[in-house]
Amino acid sequence: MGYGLRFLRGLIGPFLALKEYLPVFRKAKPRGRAALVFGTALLGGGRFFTGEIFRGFALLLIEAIAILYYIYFGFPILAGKIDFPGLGLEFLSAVFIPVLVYLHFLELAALLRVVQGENYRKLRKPKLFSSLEAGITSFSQVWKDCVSKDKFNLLSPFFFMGYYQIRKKAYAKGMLLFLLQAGFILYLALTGIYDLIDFVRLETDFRPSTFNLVYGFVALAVIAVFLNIYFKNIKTVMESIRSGKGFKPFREEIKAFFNEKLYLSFLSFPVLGVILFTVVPLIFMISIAFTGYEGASQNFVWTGFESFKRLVLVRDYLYTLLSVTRWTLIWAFFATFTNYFGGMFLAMLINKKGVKGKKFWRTVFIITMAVPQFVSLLIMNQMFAYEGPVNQFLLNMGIIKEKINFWGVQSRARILIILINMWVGIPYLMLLTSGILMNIPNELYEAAIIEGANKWQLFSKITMPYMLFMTTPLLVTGFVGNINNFNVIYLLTGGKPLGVGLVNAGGTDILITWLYQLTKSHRLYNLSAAIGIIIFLLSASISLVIYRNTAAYKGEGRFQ
Amino acid sequence: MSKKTRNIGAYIALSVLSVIWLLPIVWVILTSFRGTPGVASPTFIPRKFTLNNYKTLFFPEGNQAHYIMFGKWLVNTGSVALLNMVFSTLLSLGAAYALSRFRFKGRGAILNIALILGMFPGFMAMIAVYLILNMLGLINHPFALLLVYSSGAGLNFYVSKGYFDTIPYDLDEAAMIDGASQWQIFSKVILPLAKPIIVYTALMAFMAPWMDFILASMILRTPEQKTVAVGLYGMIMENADLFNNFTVFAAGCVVVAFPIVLMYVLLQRFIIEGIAAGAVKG
Repeated sequence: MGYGLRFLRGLIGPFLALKEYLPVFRKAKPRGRAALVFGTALLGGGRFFTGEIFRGFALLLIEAIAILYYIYFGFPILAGKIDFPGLGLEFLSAVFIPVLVYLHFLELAALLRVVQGENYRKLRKPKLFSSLEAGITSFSQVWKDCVSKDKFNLLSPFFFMGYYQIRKKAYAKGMLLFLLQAGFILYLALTGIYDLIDFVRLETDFRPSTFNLVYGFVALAVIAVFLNIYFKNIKTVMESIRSGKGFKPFREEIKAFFNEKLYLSFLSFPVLGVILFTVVPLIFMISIAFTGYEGASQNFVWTGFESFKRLVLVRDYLYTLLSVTRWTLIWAFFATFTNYFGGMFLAMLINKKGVKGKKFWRTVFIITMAVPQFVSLLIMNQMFAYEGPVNQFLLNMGIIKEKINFWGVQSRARILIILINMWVGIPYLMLLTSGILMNIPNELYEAAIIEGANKWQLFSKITMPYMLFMTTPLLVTGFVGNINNFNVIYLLTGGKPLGVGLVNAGGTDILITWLYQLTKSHRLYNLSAAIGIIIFLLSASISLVIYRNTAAYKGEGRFQ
Repeated sequence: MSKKTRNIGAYIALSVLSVIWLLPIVWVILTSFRGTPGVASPTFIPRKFTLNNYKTLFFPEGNQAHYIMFGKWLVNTGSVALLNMVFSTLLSLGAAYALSRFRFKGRGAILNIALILGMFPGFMAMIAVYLILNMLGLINHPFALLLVYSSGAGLNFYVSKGYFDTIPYDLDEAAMIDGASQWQIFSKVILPLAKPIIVYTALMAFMAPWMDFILASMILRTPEQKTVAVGLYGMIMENADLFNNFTVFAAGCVVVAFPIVLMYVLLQRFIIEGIAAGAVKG
């Protein structure tokens, strides 16, 4: 009963706080007043004045999505002008209005507290800007201090890279820098400039637009790398003139790459590889989302937000997007938690005190883990096929009269996918959790047993909190991994059976396999790239919210 | 008394679970020796045993000879796997060591970017990887896979970084006092201590080409260039002759899975250690 009262007070708290609104507003300085005015008008608007930019953007994003949703769908659905059968959007649209209004009051009350206490964050200058400023200051300082002969040296790296190094007898270094500059200018003059122009135009008659995109990115990357070296060089020359020191012999500089700069040697190749085959492709695909790349033609132009608009404003696409997203989230949730708890249960069984042959049992499950996933998934697909052995077995045993169409019915196929995913994933989770389970300090259990705790209490009060504390990052990566779990869905069902009212998607398709269908069978590259971005935003926001709210992220010390 | 019955319960549960987990595997092995074609057979244990499926796998006849080239697939996959083991292990261990032992400008940025890159659907980039490989003229060549796998290895540093983090920094300091360079510390002090994680990383890199399906299926087109995963998939999917191919397919699965299972069982210790190191990251 005490709880109920407290809950009620918490619920109406924001409304009660509003009676402070006018007094606080009158007392506040202009900055606080501006924050209150904008905060009242728009969710998160005030946070830009209190310096909490990140929170401001997040809240504003929620507001924008909500407003757009209600203009295009929410109100028409409530008015009965359009409908999306089976998604429960009528209920959601109705319920979400009071939630949104409440959110406004909650935010306003929080903002009020900030303004009242003047707990403003300091606005930081952007890092690039501040470092540029510092660079100019120290440059003018060196300029003022140095003799006139050095003034020329100080200006030289702006025009001739390597000149100063050669003057200081670091010939190898000087030559390298000179060649770099010459090569860069040559590259720009011969192709770089034209590549950039074609990058903006995209459609050219002598090569496909995809090439123009890639060459454009190459040009941008080359320019960025060169500018980085260019400014670094200016800084080095500046430092050398200020301190009056020359350069280390070239051989010693090379040696440093095996000593204090070892990390550079170790990281350069992996970073290069990741840039070439992960970063560049991703940037490429992100930009494809803003072009008209679809169909067999490789020629296209920039189209801005057209593909996103198509996904959200064309009714059938939106319906598909919503229902596929819903199934994706359901799938990711169940896949993650069934495996997590199943693996934990199995680990506790095997590691139970007094159970003999631990190594034997573990080996049994390791065997199933070692079977390549595509093999076990394809086998499972066939086992549950209409003509497959499971049906055969059930018929022979007289359990069923007719063969069951396991993959043909959406709900059945979905449940089966989750069950088979348990078969695939639990052994791995078993290995993973046993290590952590065995690390739980035994004293915790002993103390609890002395106080008379029973088995369930031991589990729910000690084992579970400890495991959750240790494995939250793991759960998050698992969840994100399952959102993107292409293999299980594709190899088990290929997205089938046909979905009702879905565009190019089947009833078990998750976002990532839908993306695959759109690319492979329909060549809608721009749409699938847009879906890819949506998947990223989904995964990133979920991870961000969880990380920000877990103890491990906040660094609140150790588990207790 | 009650303790004993509890454990009997645990044994029963473990036995039931083991049967559930082993049954499909046993079924595949039995199917690979089955004399009659088709996916299902009237009895769990086949009436007629034969080695013909294995023979067809390596020496197909008639129509099957056009698309079953299991020997070539094994060579393709094996060579990519071996080379990938070498390159990926070097790259990912190097990256992990640098990020674990050194503090430098941009380290935090690299860790954050790696985290963000992991949140993009891997498949999304694959379309672009395909286009880039197309530009380089590497489509339908197994070594294109090697290029992509090893290039991605830099992102798999989490597990080994976690392991390096647990090796006390005092060792480095002691070596530094003795005048060792960073390279010497890495090669003479840390590497010998990191044997389990090296084995684990190498093993995972070796496995990847045997397990990867999606990228390989996009890049490899003609039968003689396929890896085992793509080849086996093609035998029962994509309008193939499922009825006649299935027992052969099962034989192929057994041939692929057997060495991998053996490795897992023999190198269990390293795998468990590696998974444990990756468990508590972040």
